[in-house]
This record gives sequence, structure tokens and C-alpha cells, in this order.
Amino acid sequence: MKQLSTTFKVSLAAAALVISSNAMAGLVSPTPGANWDGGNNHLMMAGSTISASNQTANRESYTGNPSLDNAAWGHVGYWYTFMNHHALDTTVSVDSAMSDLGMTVWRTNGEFDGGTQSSGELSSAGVGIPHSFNQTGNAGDSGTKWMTDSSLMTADPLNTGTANGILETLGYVNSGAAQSINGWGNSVGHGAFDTSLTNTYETGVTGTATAGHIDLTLSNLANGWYVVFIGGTNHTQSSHNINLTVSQVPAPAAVYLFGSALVGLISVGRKRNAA
Amino acid sequence: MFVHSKFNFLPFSLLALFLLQVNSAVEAAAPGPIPINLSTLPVPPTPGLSNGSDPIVIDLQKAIILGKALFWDTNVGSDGMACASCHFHAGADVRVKNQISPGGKSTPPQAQLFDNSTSGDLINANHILKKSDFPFYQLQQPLDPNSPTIHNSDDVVSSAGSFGGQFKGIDLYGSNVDDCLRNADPVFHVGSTGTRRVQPRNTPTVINAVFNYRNFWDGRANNIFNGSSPWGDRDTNAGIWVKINGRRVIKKSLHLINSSLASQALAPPLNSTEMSCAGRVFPALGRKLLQKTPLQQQKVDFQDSVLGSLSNSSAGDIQPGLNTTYGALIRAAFNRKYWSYRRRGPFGSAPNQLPYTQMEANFSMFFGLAIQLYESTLISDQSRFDLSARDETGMPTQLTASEMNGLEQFRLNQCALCHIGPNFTATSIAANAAIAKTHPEAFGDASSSISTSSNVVNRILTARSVAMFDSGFASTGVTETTSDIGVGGTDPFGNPLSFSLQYIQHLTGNNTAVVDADVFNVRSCDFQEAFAVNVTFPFPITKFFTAADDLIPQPQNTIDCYLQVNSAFLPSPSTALAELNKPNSLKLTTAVNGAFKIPSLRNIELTGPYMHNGGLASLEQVIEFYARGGNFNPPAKQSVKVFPLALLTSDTAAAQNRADLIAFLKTLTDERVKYEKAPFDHPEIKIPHGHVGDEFSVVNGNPIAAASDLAEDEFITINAVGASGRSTPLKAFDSLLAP
Repeated sequence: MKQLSTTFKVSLAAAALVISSNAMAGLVSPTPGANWDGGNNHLMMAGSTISASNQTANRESYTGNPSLDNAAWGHVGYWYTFMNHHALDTTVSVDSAMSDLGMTVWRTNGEFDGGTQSSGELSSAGVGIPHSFNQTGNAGDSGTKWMTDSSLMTADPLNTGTANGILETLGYVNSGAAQSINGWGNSVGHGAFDTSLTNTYETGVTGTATAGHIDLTLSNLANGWYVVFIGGTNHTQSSHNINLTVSQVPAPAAVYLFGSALVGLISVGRKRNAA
Repeated sequence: MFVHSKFNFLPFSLLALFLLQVNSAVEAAAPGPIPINLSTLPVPPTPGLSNGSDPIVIDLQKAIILGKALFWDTNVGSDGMACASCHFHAGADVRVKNQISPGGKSTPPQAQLFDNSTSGDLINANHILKKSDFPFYQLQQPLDPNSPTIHNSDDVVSSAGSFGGQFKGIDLYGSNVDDCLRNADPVFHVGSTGTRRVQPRNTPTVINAVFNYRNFWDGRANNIFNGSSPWGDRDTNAGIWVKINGRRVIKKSLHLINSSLASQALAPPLNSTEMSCAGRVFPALGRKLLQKTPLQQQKVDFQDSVLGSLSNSSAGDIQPGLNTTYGALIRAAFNRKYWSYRRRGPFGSAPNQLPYTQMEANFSMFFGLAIQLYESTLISDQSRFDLSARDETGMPTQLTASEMNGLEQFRLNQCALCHIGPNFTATSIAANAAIAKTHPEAFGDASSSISTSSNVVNRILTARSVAMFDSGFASTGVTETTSDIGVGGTDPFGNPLSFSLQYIQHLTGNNTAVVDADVFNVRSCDFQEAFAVNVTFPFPITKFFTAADDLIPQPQNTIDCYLQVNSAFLPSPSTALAELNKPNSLKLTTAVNGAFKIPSLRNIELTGPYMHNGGLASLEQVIEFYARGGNFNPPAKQSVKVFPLALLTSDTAAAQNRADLIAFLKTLTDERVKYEKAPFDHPEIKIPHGHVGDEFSVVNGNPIAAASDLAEDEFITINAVGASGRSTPLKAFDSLLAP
């Protein structure tokens, strides 16, 4: 009994360390882990699902705001970080009463810190970052330098990036109208797009874009941290909340192992109680 | 047993993971400005007013006494109006009868008709406002901007003032009613009987107005006081008379900065809707008042914090008037070179009367400066928000949880970006600039900050482009631009009221179009959004100037620029002129038409109805207005600051967030204002409140002009209050409305 409870306390502490919320003070503030359902933004177990339900969202924060020349609106859209613990196919999906939705998924170096120094980047709308930022450009492009990891910014004397920044723009999806300009020299298409330049973090990106539902599936998503930016894509629709879900399909062998370990655990407990 | 614990470590931690439920919702920290204490805000100084080697005011206390007496004295008006008749309730007006103007600023003028009420009844002069009359723009679902419009009125709730008329002369027999040619007004009447005219814009509060760089909703009360008119340097005939010696007096121009309260004070006493018959001049008003006892018919509390020692009252015996004269107060307060010339002659005269004296000729200056000095004492820096202790980040620690969430909502929903600084408004330009370095947290943080400089022109995103706008003047889409053009209007000399319009002329080299010298000090590197960036962009730019255009460096230095130094540039004059002449240019757009002075939010609980048209009766309606993103989308609207707010509409906590935001706004009420304690105490005043009867019939024969078809007045009497205040608190406007 005593050892059980000691172990339990230790593992509680370990678990607490793992799920602690980060109240970030970056240029943008990613949603703390504690705001996810169950306070959990870790795909801890193979084949698990995590979610952030009923989250506030703005109708044009991903794209579609003419004042910003359709750039993403960094303070008005919402950022979600999550940590993946198993290299499996992972699907990020968003559902909403808003029909026109958009999101981008990036790989980051550690948990995204929100950008920590102003890069002075200026969009065609005359707005600087992160009020306006480039939602579809590659890491290091105009409109992303503020959020790009410093390891990638060594050649730029004016911008050193940020300590826990993006390493690669993996993909984006937009169920609203395509926009030929996004204020930063890129465009935003309609549908799902694989924007990754390497296979370091995934082996392919596909997705679906329908009214009120968007998703991206990242094949064999590597262990590590990711950040998602989500918002509406239509200036004329009404704003509604969104539900974010990140799910993995477990490999069959892993399921069997997990199940048997759990059974073993329970039977041990019963034997001890009877003693 | 050891084997068990080791073996089970990993599964136990996984089990713990399932069991551990962290349910507290931690909000992401709000970015941007933090509201701070009003006592940090300095009153912008006016050199030469009461300091220096030859000050105009030599006894500040006497000037304040003079100002308070003049402010409350109903003898100032041609027919019984005082400044306080419209500025009596937390510095504003909560009357409910005969308070509607039929869109007095609408264009074309034929549009100036009374609209029907929400139930389709006729609203006319002498109407008593009801809750159901508000708001003046209604949607079926107040929180959904896409829901149908069910009511849209361009009427304005403001203040009933004068019957108007044509000024003939002050009454030489001592009546406080001026001798005028009066008739029933063509717009304000019931049947064929005239009613008091109503102003076309809602009356703002005078409390904390000393911090505003300009005053009036359209900014026409100039920051520079010229001594004889509200127009600052625009009025080339303005000036005051200065005695040189016993035989010589000359007219000189006056140029006092940070004196828009004095400029403002000169407008209502000559305005035929507010206080006066048309055509009255200040020397005539001076002659009238110099004959009278101050506050002649108005009781003064013996403990009035400014007037008490001069009152005729004592404990238990309250009497009207002061035991001094306006002349004595002027002589005590002002430098003698402005009133001691003994001869008459050069100052003009009224028909069939003695020529004016120097004191009468300069009465506009005494009036304006005395009112300004009195209003400068009306600073409400002891609200619960101000008095609360602060933690190390500057956040208050003694507000309730609801009020703290309200403060968070105030910041998260971007209210703090325009209602910024200790006075909660960007229109306090010089005052905010004075503390931008010592209190940077009030103006933003690394992630979101507002450029706070002395610039009177700034840049903002609109739906169409990046536009110049007058600092502190914003369009939020309350009404259509045709209902009121705001700071986009012109002065009587044909000049634009807007600094931005002058600035654009200045950029093209047309400096004769600049009538406010502040325009020359505008520094482009302090704009919020860049104007001319000396950089080549890898993508096309249509909304601002770049290195692809012909640029010149800004003329000023680049010390402490808000933007990077590559933005310290301007288009060359020929480039600017060519751009201005292009149809559909995006680089020189302005956001001034339909823009209005951003009000302070202090004491907002008490100063309804709200907005320039008084069309929102309660704070609940105001929050709904912002939650849905405003009523209209005119071209000048600051569309990236005013847009539908999910946290206040669709979020699961939206109703709570709205209620908490209102709770926070109520912490900005100073108890001294609520209970009229010093310095907000005052003499008695009788204020016209509608006319006997209703909007269908009134009683003819007002003694003001018995033969002139004017309706009899009804009055409310506000009792005199001494320094210790009143026993019952002032009420919010919406609580005074019938259902």
C-alpha cells in the first residue's frame, strides 16, 4: 500500500510536469494547455485523441480580411500548441458553425513561444507583424520571420527569429474562397495543401475542406511539438466557436500491448488488496 | 514488492494521467495597454496664463471663483440658460423631456425631420424619452450584425437650450432676458407654438475635459485660445485689447496653447440653439453681467468649496447671490492692462448705447479663461479603479473578480487601444505624450502597443486602405456619414476642421492651406502604420509609399521614433501631388468623415445617453453595439479596431463577459462626482425641462416674450450642494426613463 501510494505521488508529479500550462508572454499568446479539454495537449499514448472544444474564433482571422490584404490576423485568431509522442498518422481537424474555416500546422523547436522579438516586417496592407502575418509562407519568408526558429535565421543580420520558433510549415487547409494575395507575397488556396519542403517531420500531408469542417492528416508525424493557427476565412460570415481535435490511429501491436499492461495492473491491485 | 513498484511505474503514471483532471481555465494573457491611475496624468501647461514675467491671470483662486460663478449663472443666457443648464449631472445632461433634435447635422438639410419612434408613433418636440425609444438603431438580434434592421433613426438626443431669435440688445432695465425678436422656431414647435431648440449632438461631460487636446465632438474648439473666438489662429480678426498707457490701447493677437476649454467656452454663449439670441456679441454679454450680482437668483451653499466664503448664506440660512461683483472679480483675477484703460472709443458700441469699455471689450477673454480655470479643477481621480492598490505589474488588486474579468475583457476586446491612457481616451494627446516614457505600460507592451506622441495626425487601417486620421478622433460606425460628418466638416472660414486634411495639403507643398501650426510638427516615423518606407518590397505595394517612389527624409529628427527609421520618410511634394490627383488613390486616403472625438470613459455610468447622437441609453446597449461591430460600415470606420467580437457574442461566457465589462466600467465612477462632493459641488440652478403639456399640445404665452408664441417652460430645480455633497447619489440616465 505504502509503495503504491508513493509511486502514485511520484507519477502524479511527473504527469503534472508534463501537462503544466504555459502562460506565454510572446508577441502572440498560444492557448495554454490547461484550456484544452481535460487540460491535455499531449498525444501521450499511441492512438489517443486530444481536443479543445468550444473555443472562441473570429470570422476572418485566418484570411479574408480586406483591411489586412487577406493576411492572417495574429492577435485575433487563436494558436494551439500540442506535443506528439508517437510517430503515427495524425489528423488535425476543426469543426464549426462557421462554414469558411482555415488553419495552418507548423513544426516548432520545442513548444512555440509566440515569437519574442519584433522583426519589423511590413505587409502590403501597411500592417506589421503579428497583427498581420503570413499564414502560408515557408519558415523564414516575409511575414514569418518573427515566428521562425533562430536556428534557421542565422543568415539574416536584421532578424534573429525566436528561441522556440517554427522549423517548417507543414500544410494548410481553407474551406473558404481562395485569395490570390495574402499581404506577404503568397496566396491562400481553397482546399488542403502540403507546403512541407522536407520529409523530416512527416511523410505526406493531405486533407479535406468542406463547409464547417476542415482537416489535415500528417502521415507518420514525428515526435515533438507543433503549433496550429485557426480562424475563419470570410469577412461576411458570422463568428462562431470552433472545436479542435487532434487524433491518431494507433498501430495494432501497440494497442494490444497497452491493453495487456492495463489488465496486468488491475489484477496486481486486486491481489494486494486481498492479502 | 520492489519488483512490483518498478514494473508498474510507467503504467501507474499513465493511469495517473487519466485520473488527473486539471479543470481550471487559464486565460492567455491579454496583450497591449493597461489602464492606469488618473493621478499620473498631468494637466498640459499653458505658458503665460498664470506664470512667467507678465501673466494674464494674477490671482488663480479669484479666477476660479469667477469661472464657477459664470458657469452656473443663468443670467449668461438670453433666456435663462447657463453653461450648467446642459452640464449639470456629472458634467453632462440627463433631462428626458424636449431633448430630441431631428438630425440637426444631417445632409441634405431637408433630411432634418423628426423620425417616428420604435412603435411607429410620431416623435416631436416636447417628447418625453422612454426606454423603448432606444437604441436609435436596432437589429432584430442585437448581437448579430447580419440580422435585419428594425429601427433606424437619425434623430439625436441632446440638450434643449434657447428659444433663439434675433438679438436687439441687453435689457436695460435689468431683466435677465435679452431684448430679441423672437418667433416660433420652424423646426422646434408644437402646433404653431415655439419650443426651445435642441442641439444636434449629445452633450459631453466637462469633467476631465481639461485633458482633451481639442474639444467639441468635431474638434472645432481649438487648442490655441485667441481671446475672442473659438477658432484659434484660423480667425485672423481675433485679438484682445491691451493698455499701453493712459491714452493708448492696442489690439493684439493672443496665442495660448493647451487652452481648448477657453476656446470652447466662447461658443455656446453666442449660439442661438444653446444659450443666446443670434447676433449677440461678447461685449454685450459683458455689459449685461457687469451690471448684475453673480448668481443673483441662485442660492449658494455657505460651504460651497469655491463660492462659500463669498455667499450670502450661513448655516441654516441659504441665500442667493454672491457679495461681490463680476467687475470686482475680474479686477482681482486679471492683469490690469486688460481692463484698466479708462477711455471708451476704440472698442465699438451697441446701437443707441454708450461705447464699450475695455473690460467689456475683453470680456470674452475673461470669460473663456475663467471657465477654463474652473473646469481645470474638475478632475475625477478618486474612482474605485484609481484608489485600488496595484500589484507589481500595475494591475489593480482591490476590485472584485467580476470587475477584474471586465478589465481583462476591456483589453482583450481592444477597447484599451482607443480608450487609452489614464483618461481613457486617445484625444488627450499632449497629456498622454507627457507620460508615454514614464508609464509605458499604459500604452502597450512588446506584442501590442499604440504610438503615443504629440502627433495630431496618425494612420489607421480602414476597409479600403491605410488612412490618415486625426489623433483621438475615430469612426466606429454609429451613424451614416450623411447624418453627421464630424471632424470632416469645415469652419466658418472654409477651412477643414481636420488636421489630416491640412497635413495632406502640406505634403503637396500647399502650406497656405495649413491653418493649425500643429500640422507642421507631425512626424511620419511616429505613425502607427507606416506611410513612406525607404525599402524595396518583394511583393506589390499599393497602400503606402516605398523606395519605388520618390521619397524625402522627414524634416524632423528621428529621436525615439515609434516605427523603424526606414519609415522616417515622406513622399516628395510632386509625388504627393501626383498621387492626390489620381482617381482612387490608396496612398493618401483619410478617415475623417464621420469621425468624432473619442470620449473619456470616466464616470461613464452617469453620463448617458451615449455616442455623439445620444442614441444608446444604457451601458448594456453600448457593449452590444461594440460586440456586434458597430451599426454601419462607413469608409472612415476603424475596421480593425471595431468588428464583431466573439468573446462578447458567441463565446460560451459571452453574457458573463459583457456583464463583467460593464462592472469594470462602473469602477471608473468617482464617488465625489456621484455625490457632488467638492470640487463637484455647485449653486442652485433652475433648468428648463420640457414645456407644459406634451408633444401634441403646449401652453402659449411664455413670459420671456409673451406676445411671441413661445411655449411655457417647465423647470427642474437642482438644489445647491456644498463641499460635503448631497445625500442621494446621482442616477444613471437609463434609470430615469419611463419604460
